[in-house]
Amino acid sequence: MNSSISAISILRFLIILLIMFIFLAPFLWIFLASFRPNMELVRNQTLIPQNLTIENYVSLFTKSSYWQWVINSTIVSFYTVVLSLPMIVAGAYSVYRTQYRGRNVLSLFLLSVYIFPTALLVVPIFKIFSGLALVDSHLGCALMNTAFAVPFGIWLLQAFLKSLPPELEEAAAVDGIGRIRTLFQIIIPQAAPGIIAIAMFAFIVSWTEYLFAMTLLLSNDLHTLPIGLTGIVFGQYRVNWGFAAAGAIGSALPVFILFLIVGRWFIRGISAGAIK
Amino acid sequence: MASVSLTHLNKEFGNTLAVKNVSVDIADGEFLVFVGPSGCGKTTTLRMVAGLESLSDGEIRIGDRIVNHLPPGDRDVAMVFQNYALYSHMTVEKNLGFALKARGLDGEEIEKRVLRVAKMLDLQEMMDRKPRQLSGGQRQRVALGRAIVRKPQAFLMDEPLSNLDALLRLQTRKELIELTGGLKSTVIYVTHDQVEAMTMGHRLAVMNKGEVVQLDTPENIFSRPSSRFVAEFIGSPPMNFLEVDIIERNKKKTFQQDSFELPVPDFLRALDEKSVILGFRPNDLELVSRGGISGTVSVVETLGSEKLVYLKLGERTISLLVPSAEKINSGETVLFKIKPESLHLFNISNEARISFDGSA
Repeated sequence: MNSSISAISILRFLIILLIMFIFLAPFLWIFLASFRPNMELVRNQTLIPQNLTIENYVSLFTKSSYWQWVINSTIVSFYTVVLSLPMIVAGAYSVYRTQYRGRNVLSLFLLSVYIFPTALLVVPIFKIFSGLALVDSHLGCALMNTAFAVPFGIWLLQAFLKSLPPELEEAAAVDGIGRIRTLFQIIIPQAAPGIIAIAMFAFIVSWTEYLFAMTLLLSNDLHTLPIGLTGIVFGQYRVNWGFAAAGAIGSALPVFILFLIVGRWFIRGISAGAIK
Repeated sequence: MASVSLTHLNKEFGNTLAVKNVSVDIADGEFLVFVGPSGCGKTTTLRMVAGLESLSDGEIRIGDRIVNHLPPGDRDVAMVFQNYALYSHMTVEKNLGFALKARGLDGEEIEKRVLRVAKMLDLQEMMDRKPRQLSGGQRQRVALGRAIVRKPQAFLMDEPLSNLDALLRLQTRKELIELTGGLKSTVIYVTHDQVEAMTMGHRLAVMNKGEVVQLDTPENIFSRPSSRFVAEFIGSPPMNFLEVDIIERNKKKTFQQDSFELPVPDFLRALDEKSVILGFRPNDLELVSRGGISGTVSVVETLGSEKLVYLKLGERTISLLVPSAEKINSGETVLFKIKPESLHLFNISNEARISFDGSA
């Protein structure tokens, strides 16, 4: 009996290990690759590195405009969060916590912004934005990211808002507390973990956005991380894989650190309303 | 405090009439309980008074103001919710003072009122705690305090005790009676618990299917239920019912159904129905050694000072309460008598009370 139980648990452990390996292998490979010379990566594809070097990181941090891109990405992501959060909170509160005619239709159309392939939007958006002097500006790029973060953000926040009892607002209403005050002093503080999760989501959407940044940010000194890295990784004649790997780690690191700080809120925000 | 007057209230949800023609006048300082099974419209009625639900028809007056179209905050009522609805990110003190602050009262007055209520409800020790650090009973007191601190015209309470465990509920019930009595508050209280309703209310409005089916003092409702529904709903354990025929033999009338036979008491001689529903409460039966109605004991439940005995009479089952010292076992056949003065009669077709002393 005991031996069969331990056999099952060993098997289970091995399966978990295997699944973990499948998920983590690409990250592990990139992490290891970032410490390997490019020649080794091109010539012999061994799993275990033969030579370790920090050359890729030295190039990334000293010879490229890495820090400038980090600053640019941070600016665009910051704008995106600042622009999208008020819209997400107000939108989610309106769609999921108030009653008015057309509300259901509105909520149905919420995610319709995602039905268009983004590539289709590039040309018209460029045209509109150039008329508004938003091309080659971080704000223009952040506006685009906001447009894509808001509907999904609203949809994500609904689960959190739905988990708050309606009696909270009713109690406030009976006590004579106005709608706006109720939103700011009762609903937002109660939904704080969800809102932090949404902010994180908007930040990541913006941090990793490529297509519109590529189209709208023309000057080199405005480039964000994804654009900057693509430019140097794909050299004129060959791809520098070791450098690309270091760039990938270098661009993921700030988000990773951010996640470590607010990650527990993110998980709580995403799983809100899942049980109950 | 003020009187509250509900006149011909109706509430439709789509095609369903959730509240039908409810008219109740609640006097200043009265504790009125809306009681009924779930879905009977009692909470909807309360929410209409609070302004959380619009009226389809009718009129609500608080004091001398018609409040039909006033938003909840302008009606000057305070509500206590079943789940307390405390603001979990605020301390007890902030929860108590929040509404006053929002209404623009000055800080000194707020502090004075909050302290007074905290003292009244024994909350001083926990003013800096957040709701999650409180027990259910303490949370309930904070919710109550949040209502009291506002000094409203009336208190509206929606099953405020139903989230508490049995012992705490009993204790809080007593405290609530003392508190509202001391404050001479007008209270509209909603519950599905008939014991709570009987013990707390000056008057009860028993509701069923959106209508108030009886509005009276707890004593009158218990002793003279207006229908079979009220008789069954109010009183624990519930009243027994038997559909019986009235047979006349040798000028003597008898209630009869299968093996059940009971002479019609003298004061009911005038009864001219062919059949009625007979109602009698479990504590109005007594076991006798001879000359009673016979039944077979199916289940015996020990309640402490009493035993609840289920008896089979042919196809039907009735219950009776006996002192716990009584030795009685399932399977036994016993004889019992019904106190004639305790009989309730209901019409077979509409289940309304049949009065036999000239009053309804």
